[in-house]
Amino acid sequence: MATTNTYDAIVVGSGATGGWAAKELTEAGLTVAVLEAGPKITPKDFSEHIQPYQLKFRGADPHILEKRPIQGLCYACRESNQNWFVNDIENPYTTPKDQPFNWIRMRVLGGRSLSWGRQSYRMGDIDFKAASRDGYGEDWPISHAELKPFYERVERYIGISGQEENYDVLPDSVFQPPMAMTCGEEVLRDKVKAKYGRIVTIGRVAILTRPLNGRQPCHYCGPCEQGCSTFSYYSSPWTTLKAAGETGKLTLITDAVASHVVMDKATGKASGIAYIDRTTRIPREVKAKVIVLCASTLESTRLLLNSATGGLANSSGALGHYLMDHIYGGGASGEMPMLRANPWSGPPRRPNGIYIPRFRNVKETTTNGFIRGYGYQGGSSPSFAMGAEGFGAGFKKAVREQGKWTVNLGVWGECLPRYDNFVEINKDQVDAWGIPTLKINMKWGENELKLFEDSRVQAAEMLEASGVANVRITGTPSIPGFCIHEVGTARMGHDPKKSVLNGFNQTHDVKNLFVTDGACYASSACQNPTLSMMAITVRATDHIKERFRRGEL
Amino acid sequence: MLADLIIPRTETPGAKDAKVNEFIDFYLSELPVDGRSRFIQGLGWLDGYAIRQHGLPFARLSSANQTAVLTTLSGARGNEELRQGTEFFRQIKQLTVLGYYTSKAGIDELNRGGRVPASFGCEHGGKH
Repeated sequence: MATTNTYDAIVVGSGATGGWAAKELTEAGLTVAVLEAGPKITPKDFSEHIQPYQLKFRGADPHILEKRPIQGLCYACRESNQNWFVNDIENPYTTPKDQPFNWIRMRVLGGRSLSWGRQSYRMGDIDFKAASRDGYGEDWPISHAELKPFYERVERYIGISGQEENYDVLPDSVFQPPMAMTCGEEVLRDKVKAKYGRIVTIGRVAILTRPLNGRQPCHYCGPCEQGCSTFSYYSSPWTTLKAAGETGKLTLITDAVASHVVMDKATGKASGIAYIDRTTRIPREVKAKVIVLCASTLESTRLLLNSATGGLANSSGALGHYLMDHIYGGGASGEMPMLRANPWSGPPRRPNGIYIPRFRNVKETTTNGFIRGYGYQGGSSPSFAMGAEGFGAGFKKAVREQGKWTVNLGVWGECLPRYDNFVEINKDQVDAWGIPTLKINMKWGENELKLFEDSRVQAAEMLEASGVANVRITGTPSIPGFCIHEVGTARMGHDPKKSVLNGFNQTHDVKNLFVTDGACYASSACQNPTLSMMAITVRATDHIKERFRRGEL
Repeated sequence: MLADLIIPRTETPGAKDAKVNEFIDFYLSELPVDGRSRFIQGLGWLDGYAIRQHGLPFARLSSANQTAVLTTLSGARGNEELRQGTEFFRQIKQLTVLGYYTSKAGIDELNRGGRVPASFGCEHGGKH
């Protein structure tokens, strides 16, 4: 086995959190190796300005599911960027027969930060201290006040556009100016405010509306998931990783498929990461004084499970357990006959929608038999009548002229942490690099399903109260995983008997081993998780820097 | 020809002007074999139906009779005897819509006439 250099720190993963860990540690003077399982890319690989008629299959590639039967189900995995997503044949996993789980993964420099949804919401103490409020599960070992300075650092650096609402349930970020609401969204906002006192706000997104650090504001071309040649949304390669590179302290190792954490038996500390070269299959090892896992929720946990019998840093037995995702896939939709529809096709297109923050179980703790809450994402815009009946000149005219202002609300609901939702290592299946794969055991519980039903009814009522016509309750509960908000499985906590990580994302068992991605979640809240993961990462790296300086790791 | 019947040239280009027929031929050639054979059998069904109704294959019918056949198929939901024909119509219409409205001509057709995209927000001072 070839051994390469020794670094102060190894960061496994180059996505949203890995980028931050690399930036913070290199800027503090540490030498850092970042391992990324996928290849390098450059802005030449972006395809957001390619017009549909320039694509071979006009964006409807009939072959996409051949190599990517799971990834291809994701809206963001498209004809022009599908290679950023993993090949499902090379990257298998299993589930119980009646419990599908859609695991969407990207292996490429920048990871899922290249194609993420960019919606960015803080969590509040109603989330961090949820267990104390309603008695279910465990509190986080941190509060909003403790995380606030790190949220601010992240927000100032990556740029979040949005509107202040002064609502503690969804604390305001440091905002760039908000994107504008459409006519239909303003109608909804005003009626919902008047009739329910609930907030409808423009989506808070990690997309610039003002220049920042040489990055240009969004020009509304539309398909962010295909890249951004003006770097207007946060993706790590052109922001945090770039900053890390400029320190001269960063070594970027792409095509490095991490297989396990290497332990030093004498010291009980982690000594490095073993990985397989993606293209040559040669096993290699990098060594470091500190290891930070930012490989994504389930990949970080898989690494720990593959690092020791029974899992590394698992004296609690909690490793792999308490897997969560947001329940979504339903809501309500309708039409706004009070608005004259003149729909528009293609760019300019605002890459954002609206958001309704949680209003359930804010004062009380239980509503209609469920605890916790949900938020909605949605939007309102005029659409063409693509489904018009018939054919000929009449059809062509109808498509253009019988369009309607449509409005939709979709739920993003909190998922309770349950021991029974867990991942384990398959004994008889490996991936294309010989690394044992995960079996993912997850299903929605009663609380999620009750919350989901309530959210659909509430969505329909709010639309009806706003004068929306033809209101329909939509959807069915999503397949777990498919919200791509999978969190938990190496949770933080004060009690080493119940959690894998302490309040600084350090494993209770191995003092120089940290996990700062979504695996650390103690509860899912209902907000999109990436912003909080980044803030948590920055807070953890502050701690690492200090401990490192004092020689305590 | 079928594509052009579905989206004809009006004051703006039609499906054939936008080479939608070429796109459909290409797209079908890339489909898995069952998708392709469904299409070809659908074409066969259409000719058989045209011959039974009007004595000639579809391509040779008068434009009035072609329109009559497609009108029947586009409106005949739930009619078991016409099932293969209605499914074929749905398939060819779907491909035509995909090909046309992703073409330059199709996008221009949708956006012409001084429309303003909704993306930049309400311009009515919230008065609706």
